Amino acid sequence: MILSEVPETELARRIGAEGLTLECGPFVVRVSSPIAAIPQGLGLLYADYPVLDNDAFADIHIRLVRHRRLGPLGAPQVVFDFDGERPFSPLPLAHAWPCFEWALNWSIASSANYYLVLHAAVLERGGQALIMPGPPGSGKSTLCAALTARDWRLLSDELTLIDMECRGIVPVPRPISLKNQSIQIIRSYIPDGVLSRTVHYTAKGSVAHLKPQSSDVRRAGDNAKPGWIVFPTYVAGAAARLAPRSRADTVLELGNNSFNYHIQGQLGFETVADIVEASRCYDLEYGSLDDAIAAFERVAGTRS
Amino acid sequence: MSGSLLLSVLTGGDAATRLSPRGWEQLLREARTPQLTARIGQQAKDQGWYDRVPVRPRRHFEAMHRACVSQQHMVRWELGQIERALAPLDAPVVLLKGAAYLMAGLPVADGRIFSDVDIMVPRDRLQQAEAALIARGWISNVHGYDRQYYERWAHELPPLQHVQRASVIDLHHTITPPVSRTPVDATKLFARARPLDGSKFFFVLAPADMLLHSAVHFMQEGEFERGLRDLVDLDALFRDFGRDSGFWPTLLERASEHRLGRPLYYAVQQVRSLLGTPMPRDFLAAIDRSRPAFITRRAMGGLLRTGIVGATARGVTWRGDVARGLLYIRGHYMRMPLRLLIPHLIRKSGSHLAFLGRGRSVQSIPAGGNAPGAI
Amino acid sequence: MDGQRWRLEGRAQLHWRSLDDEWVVFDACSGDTHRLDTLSAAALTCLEAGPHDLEHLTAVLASELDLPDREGLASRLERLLEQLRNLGLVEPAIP
Repeated sequence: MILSEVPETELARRIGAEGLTLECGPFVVRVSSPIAAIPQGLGLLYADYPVLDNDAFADIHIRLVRHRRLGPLGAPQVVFDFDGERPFSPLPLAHAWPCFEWALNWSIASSANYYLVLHAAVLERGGQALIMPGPPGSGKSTLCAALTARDWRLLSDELTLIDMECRGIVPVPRPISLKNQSIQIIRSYIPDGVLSRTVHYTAKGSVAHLKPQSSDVRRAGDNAKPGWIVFPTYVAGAAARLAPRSRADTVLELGNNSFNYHIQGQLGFETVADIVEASRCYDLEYGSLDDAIAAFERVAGTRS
Repeated sequence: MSGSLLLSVLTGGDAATRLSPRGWEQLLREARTPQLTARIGQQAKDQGWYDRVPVRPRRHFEAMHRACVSQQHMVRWELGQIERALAPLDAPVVLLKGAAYLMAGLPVADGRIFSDVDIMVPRDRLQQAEAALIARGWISNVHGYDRQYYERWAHELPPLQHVQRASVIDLHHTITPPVSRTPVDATKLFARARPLDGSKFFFVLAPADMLLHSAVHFMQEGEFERGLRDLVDLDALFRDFGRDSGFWPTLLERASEHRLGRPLYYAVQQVRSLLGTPMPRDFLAAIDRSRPAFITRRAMGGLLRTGIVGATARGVTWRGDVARGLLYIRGHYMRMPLRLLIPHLIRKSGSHLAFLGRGRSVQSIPAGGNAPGAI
Repeated sequence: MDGQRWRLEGRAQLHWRSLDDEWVVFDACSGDTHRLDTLSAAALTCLEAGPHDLEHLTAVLASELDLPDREGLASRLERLLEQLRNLGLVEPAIP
């Protein structure tokens, strides 16, 4: 059963009570919250995700509860409750949906040590993965969102999971997080895209989430093989420039862009080296989204 | 008190394999705070039921196992660096707690996660040892009044953290604070310390002293979030050392000599009550003679049990919180700053040096790694 | 530095991967990962096989890598040895 098949009232009831269990890539997530924005957000953005019985094993628990700042008359807030601990400060109640997405990011990053986890977006075409490492500001989320509308399957906009046993890249498709100007850019670029309501004045500015395509969620069980590793840099006004990048340097950069490389020992090293060895590695400087998308088409053409 | 699932798995062998999926989930949640996930995984391997753990929970055990192994590598390497720094000291350096368990190859080290390296030097060499470590890149973040507090009251210097690697050393000169109600004479500890196999440099405490240190730590350090973890350590130490029948009378002698009868009593009471550690009858009879007055014993026992098990139950009960607060006050220690709360990720990220710029022959990433910054 | 012999750091356990004309190496003991150019890799491989002093190392590498400018090479290797020492990859060999 997928989430859209659960009646709205039942969805809200379950999330407010015993919790709703859904599959998100290789993880099983249980969500509970009395806050209305949560079933609303799930209903909009997670409509295609498989729902499991509550007696299934869950890797991750997201519980968002209400909190009141400075006593009963204070501003209403939301806080992520993680088995009685609170890793983050409370946020205004209006930020409940972004709070959910951030809590899930954190939970996946913390629970995913079975995998090598890179801070990178990853998409797939023809069975091969395009990995885009990038610090905030490289524009990788915007690129990622645009690419999903141009015949690239979304594996993740933020967390590249690599299975160290089989060297496969494991999908964990999620709504893509967009900030500030990106929101309008993607609205124009993907006219029939489904976006959550923009939430303003968060710590990251204005934030909205783009629903992943149904087919990408359905294919969350299909791993990808290494293909390309591209480091994007946004430079306003620049023409798109694709340049090959040293593989040895890419190994170090991936290690530096990883959440858990340092605890995976030699296995992590061999995995990164294998992935890089099997990939074509590039730097991409770009000033416009269209140019970047065209450059990725050229990149994709470099394999049979 | 509803029984904790974690406790029943720790004491119940392969009963875990009959858990439902929600049962496995609950077990992992309970194991998280006391950092016992890898320990359970290790127990499963030792007892031969690891391959009957279902696929999803097994990934969690596998992940923690890898983290544990990589941490053990790191600690071994750090000890090499510490040895280099302290070799000129010409004084015995005794490893304590996790570092000792690991280097001595004790079963208690399997699946055990730990963060700092604890070492002990004679008090008159403390400043010199600290200076030698600082010269090699460890720094102390604690200054002024706080530092004076440490030097006067505590049995350790403020922790030293390495500038590049973020490894932390706790430098001790004895195993209890000098002004505590139960101060220990360190010369006796050093006199009985044993060299390590395979190291020409480090020593470890004699078994009875090692166990007493663990009991003291359990009672006095105030880390009751990890209380059950400490009891698991104690249980493993008792079982390992206890195979030698001479150990038990020696333990009683040492406890008496160090005036640690009471911490030992509480430790024995708790570890038997929660983990069922086997002990000889005559030892138990002797230990019972150190028991405190009736009321204190009941109150302490109740407090301890609530505090420990409260930390592992799903969600923290209010009562569990209060119990831990009271126990912490009894610990009357300066608490270390809270580490970053990313569960199961052991090392705080070093601000790793951008080792070398472009155009140099060698670039590197050091072992310290990055903390997840998924936000 | 004259006559000073160098060798691989005593506890290093190196795992090598070649990528195009460069190398990456993982030291299982320290957990560090390094990227090396051809010269550094060659020098480290030499020292992995046994201790050398600077003169000998220069001679071997000049010959293996076909590098005519010995003086320039020697001075570059001297700096490289210092870098490698700072990274914990090599140490003075005490006879």
